[in-house]
Amino acid sequence: MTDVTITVNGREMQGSVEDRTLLVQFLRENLGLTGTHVGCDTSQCGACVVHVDGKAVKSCTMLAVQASGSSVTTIEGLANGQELHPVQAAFREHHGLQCGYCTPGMIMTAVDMIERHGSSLDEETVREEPRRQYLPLHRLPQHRQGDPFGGGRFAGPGHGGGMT
Amino acid sequence: MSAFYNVAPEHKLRVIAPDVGGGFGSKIYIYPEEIVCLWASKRTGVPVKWTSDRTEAFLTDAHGRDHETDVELALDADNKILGLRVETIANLGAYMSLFSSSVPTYLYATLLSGQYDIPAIHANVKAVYTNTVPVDAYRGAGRPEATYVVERTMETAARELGISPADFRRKNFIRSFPHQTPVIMAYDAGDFDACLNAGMEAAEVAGFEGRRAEAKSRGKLRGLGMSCYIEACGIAPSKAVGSLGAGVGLWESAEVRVNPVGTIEILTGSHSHGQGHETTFAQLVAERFGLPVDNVQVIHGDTDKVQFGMGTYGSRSGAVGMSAIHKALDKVEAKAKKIAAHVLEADEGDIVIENGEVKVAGTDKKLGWHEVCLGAYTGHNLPDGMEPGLKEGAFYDPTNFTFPAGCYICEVEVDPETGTTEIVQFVAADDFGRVINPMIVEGQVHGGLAQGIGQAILERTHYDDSGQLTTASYMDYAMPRAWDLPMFKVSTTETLCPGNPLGMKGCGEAGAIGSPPAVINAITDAIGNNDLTMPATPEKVWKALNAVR
Repeated sequence: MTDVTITVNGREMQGSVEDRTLLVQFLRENLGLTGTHVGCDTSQCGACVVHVDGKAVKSCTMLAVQASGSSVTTIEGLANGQELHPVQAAFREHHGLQCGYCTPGMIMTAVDMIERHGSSLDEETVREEPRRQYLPLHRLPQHRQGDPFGGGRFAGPGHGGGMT
Repeated sequence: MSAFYNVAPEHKLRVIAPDVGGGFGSKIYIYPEEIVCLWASKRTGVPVKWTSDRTEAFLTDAHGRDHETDVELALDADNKILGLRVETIANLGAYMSLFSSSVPTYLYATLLSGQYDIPAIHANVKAVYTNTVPVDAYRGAGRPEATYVVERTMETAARELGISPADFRRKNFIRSFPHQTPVIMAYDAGDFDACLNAGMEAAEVAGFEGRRAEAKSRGKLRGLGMSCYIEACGIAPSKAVGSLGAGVGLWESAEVRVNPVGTIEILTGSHSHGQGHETTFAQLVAERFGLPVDNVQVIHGDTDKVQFGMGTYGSRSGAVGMSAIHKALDKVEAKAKKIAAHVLEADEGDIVIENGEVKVAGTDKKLGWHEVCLGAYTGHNLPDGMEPGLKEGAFYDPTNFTFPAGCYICEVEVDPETGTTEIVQFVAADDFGRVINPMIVEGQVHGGLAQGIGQAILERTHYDDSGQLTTASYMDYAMPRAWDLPMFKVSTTETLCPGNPLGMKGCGEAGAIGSPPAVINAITDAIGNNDLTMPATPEKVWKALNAVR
């Protein structure tokens, strides 16, 4: 067993884990943060995406011990109290989910893309980038007026601002 | 579970199924592991949790489709269909599963008439046990298989005759309703021309040859394919399924609990696992009485709260589940009107409920909805003999299936060097009867199309010679992703279903039912070879193309 210390959603969390424990297992089973889901077990689908030190990572593909000392944001840490993150609000507004199983991963990926690309994020990038990364959009509705992530309508202060 | 498996007395068994992820058919069944958990828990006296990982799910969740079919079509000199003969071998897998034998029979052969007036149909289905994972209902369950047979055949016939596939379909459309097909189904309503016209307009079919020529100049092979599907939702009535050997009835139940403050709780047997019942059902209730939608709560998925329900599958929640709610609301409305008429000293027939108020029509006499509800529970001023309270339940048993129909048109570009297919346009023009929430309906169609397109070009279950499932992870089983799909052009036309009080037909599976033949018709049009099976992978498309070049 190895002791790990991970700052999760702003709070320092400690645990003693087997070395083989995946980050997603640590989040779900040790911390009870079950908003991060496991979809495929083989690092294909991205339902388990969280942010580690500000970067989108599939938490099924990283050991908890590797994340020790890092700062992790999960879907539970995205909203500001009762106020949804703009991407969460946009998914809700535009019916960007159905059963919701993989939605946490989609939202974490979308937030990461917006933060990385800022105002240069365009529809093509939104459609093409997950090709390399992830996206089980299978069986889920497209965005009503545009692409699955709602094109450039996720503008919000501090969240890749400047998108129009 | 209690009745069929004898694991626990019914009053001691509580099943809670909150947000369970999507269903798509695979969660209808009682899997052996669920019974084993109950047994193990009873045996050990501690809670037992069972998690199926993705590979286990591939190996044990019921699979879908898996037919091999020969089909013959007979036409007269005027291209009117005289008859259809279908021979199908349907794989059931290694074990009997809940619906596995009814999917390729009652839900398949009964739809072989499609949208067409066919005087004679002969279908011979051989259901076979093999050593694969059990094959059972999966989004569409029998109707995608039937639609594929009919619509590939229609397109092929039109091409062989050298006539327009649209005109050939028009020539044979059913236009008067009710229409008794030779394969049991009696279609109650529809307007197939309206869907076809809407689809062709949205797909700009008239400009296709120009687009084909332009693609050719870029070295791409462009093709157009069509599918005019009809399907059957809300399996019914209970009497009919009973005569076919079902162990249950196929009604739905609902309870409407109006609280003393006027808020409303809807208890429904139609479980919601991504279909948005919480929204649509609440909307139905809120609109009925003119209340804010937030005043309505939808409760499902807990056997201690909802006494009986038949569940969500076969696109039945609207046509059957909401009809049960509608019936219960009728009773609530009647009682609320009686109370208001008594308090306002008016005739019951003059009472109207709108905008959250209970009024005497044509006067300024009125009560707030919440006042009537509170009055029902205080019992201070009720008509003589009336029971206090405002809570009603209903069971609804449909008299017939409902028949959603539509026209799907797919346009593809094939790269002749690699055999890769790009879906460049997909149009869906559906008739779902009355639509309550267009955004949710659109979402259902989008998801269904993604699933049908996945079936057509990507998804394949493969076993090696020793029976090993070699596609047991998402590394090996190709799911459609965002870039595999174009932006869908979706629209609806409307003929009301006469069989239920809301005129609804159902939209949950149509996308998956209608789309595979449209895709394959488009690819075969592009490559000029009709000999192609699903999934049309680049390798298969390349081989088919080079077989005729």
